[in-house]
Amino acid sequence: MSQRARWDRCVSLRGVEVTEFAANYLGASGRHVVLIGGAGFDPRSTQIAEMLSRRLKDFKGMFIREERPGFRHAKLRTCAETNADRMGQLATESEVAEVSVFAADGAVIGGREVAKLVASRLWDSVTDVIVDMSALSKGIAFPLVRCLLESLDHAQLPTNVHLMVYEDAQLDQNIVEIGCDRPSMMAGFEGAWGLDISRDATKLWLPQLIKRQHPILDRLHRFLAPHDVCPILPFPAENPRMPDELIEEYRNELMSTWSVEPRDIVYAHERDPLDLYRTILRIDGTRQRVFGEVGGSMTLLSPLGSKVLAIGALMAALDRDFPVAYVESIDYDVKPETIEVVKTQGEIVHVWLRGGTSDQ
Amino acid sequence: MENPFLKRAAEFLRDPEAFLAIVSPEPARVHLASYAANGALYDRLVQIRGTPGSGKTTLARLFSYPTLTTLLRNKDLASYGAVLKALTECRAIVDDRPAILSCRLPMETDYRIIWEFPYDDDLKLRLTIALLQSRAVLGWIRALRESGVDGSSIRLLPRKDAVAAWAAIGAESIDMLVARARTVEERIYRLVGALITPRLESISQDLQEAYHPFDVIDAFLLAAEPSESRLSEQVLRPLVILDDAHVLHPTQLKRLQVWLARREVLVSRWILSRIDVMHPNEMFASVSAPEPQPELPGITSGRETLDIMLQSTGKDRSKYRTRFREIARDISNRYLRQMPVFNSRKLESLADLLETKAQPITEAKLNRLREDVSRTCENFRITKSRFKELTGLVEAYRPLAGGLEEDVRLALVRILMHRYMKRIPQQGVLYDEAADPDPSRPLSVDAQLADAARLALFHEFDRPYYYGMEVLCDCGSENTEQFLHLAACLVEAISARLIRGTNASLDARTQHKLLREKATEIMERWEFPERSAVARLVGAIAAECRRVSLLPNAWIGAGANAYGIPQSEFENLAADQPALARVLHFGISYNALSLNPRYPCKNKEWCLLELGGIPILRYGLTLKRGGFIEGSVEELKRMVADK
Repeated sequence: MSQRARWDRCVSLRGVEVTEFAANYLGASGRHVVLIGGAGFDPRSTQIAEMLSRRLKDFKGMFIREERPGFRHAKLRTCAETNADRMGQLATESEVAEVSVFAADGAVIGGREVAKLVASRLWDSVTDVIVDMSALSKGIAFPLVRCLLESLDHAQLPTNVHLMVYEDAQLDQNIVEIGCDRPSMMAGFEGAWGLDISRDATKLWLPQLIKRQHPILDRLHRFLAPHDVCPILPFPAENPRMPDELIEEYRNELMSTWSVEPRDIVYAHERDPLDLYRTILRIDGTRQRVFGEVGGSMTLLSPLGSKVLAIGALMAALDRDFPVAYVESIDYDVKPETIEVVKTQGEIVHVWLRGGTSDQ
Repeated sequence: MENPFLKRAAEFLRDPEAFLAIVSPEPARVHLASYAANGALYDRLVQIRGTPGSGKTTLARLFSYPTLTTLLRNKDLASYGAVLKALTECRAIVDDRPAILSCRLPMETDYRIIWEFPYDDDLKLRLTIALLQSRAVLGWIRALRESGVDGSSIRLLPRKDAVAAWAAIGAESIDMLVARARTVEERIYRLVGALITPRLESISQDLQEAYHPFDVIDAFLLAAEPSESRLSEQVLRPLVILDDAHVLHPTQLKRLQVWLARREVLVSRWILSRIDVMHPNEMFASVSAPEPQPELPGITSGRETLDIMLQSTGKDRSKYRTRFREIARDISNRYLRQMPVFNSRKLESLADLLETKAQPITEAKLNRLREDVSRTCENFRITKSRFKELTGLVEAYRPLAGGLEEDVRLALVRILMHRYMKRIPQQGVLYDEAADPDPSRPLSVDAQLADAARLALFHEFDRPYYYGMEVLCDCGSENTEQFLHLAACLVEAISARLIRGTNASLDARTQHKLLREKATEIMERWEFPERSAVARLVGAIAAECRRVSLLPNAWIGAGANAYGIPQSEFENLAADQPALARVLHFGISYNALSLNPRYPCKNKEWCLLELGGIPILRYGLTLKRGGFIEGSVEELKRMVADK
């Protein structure tokens, strides 16, 4: 019998529902809210803090500055500083913590650094922690959320954890990550990847596709050497032709390198993290049944691209301890006009991850 | 349609049979075979270094036990003959039996994370070594089981003085050995996987205690199979291959190297890493090292370690380029045979499908060239007799070149006129029309000059310049992956023609166009540390090389593709200019550049920074080696500076 999904019943809100939720629930008296977010160049950095400042009397902020060596683009740095200042003004109390993403020798350490930061804080008096993933890189956000959940569980605190992201799929496509040359498992998301007992498992890789990420996907594929690949395409999507465009762009990988059959493609709703979460769990459940007698199946995730879909992948990884493979970004290829304007039609997506009734 | 060239097919084939059908034994034969005879490959620490894509992992797979047994099971197959011979030369197979039992351990980040723990270095090293050894033991047993060896027929041969340590590794039986190794692996893995580092006190004592199968296991013994005529046990020397060791922390790697280099370690051990694992200074020295043994490319050896470079270094460069052409041909032919569209038509050689016939410029362009030659002759007031003499020089060269196309002939005459003008005294306004001074040095035509003429025609009239198998191999910069990526676009075009039923061979123009487009695409997708600075440097060097190469008198011969700095300046570069050294370090590591140190020219020693095949293609430079622009470290710094 298949294992019940941890977030089978989960509160997930979007758009105006989120602002109402902020005003009515988070803004209620007696609630002590902490917002953890990225103070980066991403124009979405301040959006959720702005929304909270309008709906809540007070909230505290823990803002993370991701530091990368050789990250010298003056325009991006100026934007990050402006965003950090603005977020500081919006929160009643705030701290900006710098997290080194890379060690001096190029090893990726950001995930563990941010985990140290989270573990060192006391959460006793906090009723709600909001993790704003909009401007956090996935290599930071994923370990942060895991460490936060583990710390709260360990301390047996009833604190609620909410994930939020200011959804803008186009912006996700326009901020192109330049990967470092070392694919790895995300800190805290190694699963049973490195253990001998799992070597016999049939490996299924579910990469989220995004434009212009050939080198990163190529490195990941070599690193994982999966038996099967089921790429995840966003559909329904804001741009309904996006799946076709991605298939066209990655035709060499799909046909030659990964040997993907048309029926192996996974479609996930671009604006609904729970859709991807449930899809991943369903696929894994089916494979566990099929391969159970012959070494088992191991599902490997690589959440590139859309932050909303990344939440779905994160939930699946937390639920079933799936390994998450990624290539940390050493830099970003962003056109200045991309980060100057945030379109107004983007909306906030919320998932109630811990507390309340969400994971009971 | 599946194109194995696009994916380094050898890496993705799980079955040994399929792998053996496609793998080329040439890299093993060229780089390793020479060291097998005296046992150096297996009795000391071997460090194999190369750029990404130079075939390190494929090399490791070739020595895996399932590969060896599959090879021996099918040794009568003609297609396996070359691989069998190479592995026998490497002494991985002795007397038609496998002699080694290897396991490849990718040095993934879990090893590196250990070095982030707030413990002392000794404990961190112990944990690293324990994890590594447990995985090696599991890898060896797994390799045997994958090859169908029954656990009951495996016996361990302990080191004579280590019987007491037998129990510590659980070597009483194979099951106990595996169980102990799994316990060690899992405990350290869980430790490594924790987001918050456990306190020192929480690390159990037995994890910190000695677990040293490398010091205990001498060999694996396999009982002879009933089907075998021989009754003697099969002795397998364990070999551990640490792949991608550059992922480790520098101190961790250094300490691990010291530990593995100890003579007490009985297990054969190889470390595979990229060349950027080394400090810039160390790497520059390594790729600059003169050859102790001229017949062995890229290798310096010591008593305790053997260092093997998968790139050409020192004086053996031209010989290595020829060897790489052999390797590349072999690999491309093997890959081609995997494609039904080629195989079904018995098309087994990529070289045969790449036309080498030159494609001269069009008649209209030829007329423009003729007019330019006449105009130059007029402007320089070259006498008819002198012009005839210059034309005669070109005509005299024609038989040596095996024929010259008209456009090349005219371009050569034009170069000779410019050279002539440089070699006569400067003429004033009162130029005597009848004067026809002799040049200070006699003029001549050779292959270098003919190549300069072709390069000029390429840039001036878009004449195809990059075509043919040799050019394709040379563009690969002695890197298998780069070669395959470039070849992939040509193979794709050929297969499309085959499917459409047209002539399969690619003409020079199509090859030239596809290769240049691919090079541009590859450069635009460069992703490695300091890639922007490397791109700026490469662009600046290429622009200067192109300018000089296209000077009308082609004084630099076939053209320039390198930037030379005095050797004395280069020696201090890593110490004096660490930022610039870092850029060069990554440029060299990722094939954007290569070093040719101690190059003698004009009574001076130079260190040449040669552009890699991809930038050469993109910027339209010669592939011939030797032509360089004289420069300095200061100038290099200006090139790298972000504008």
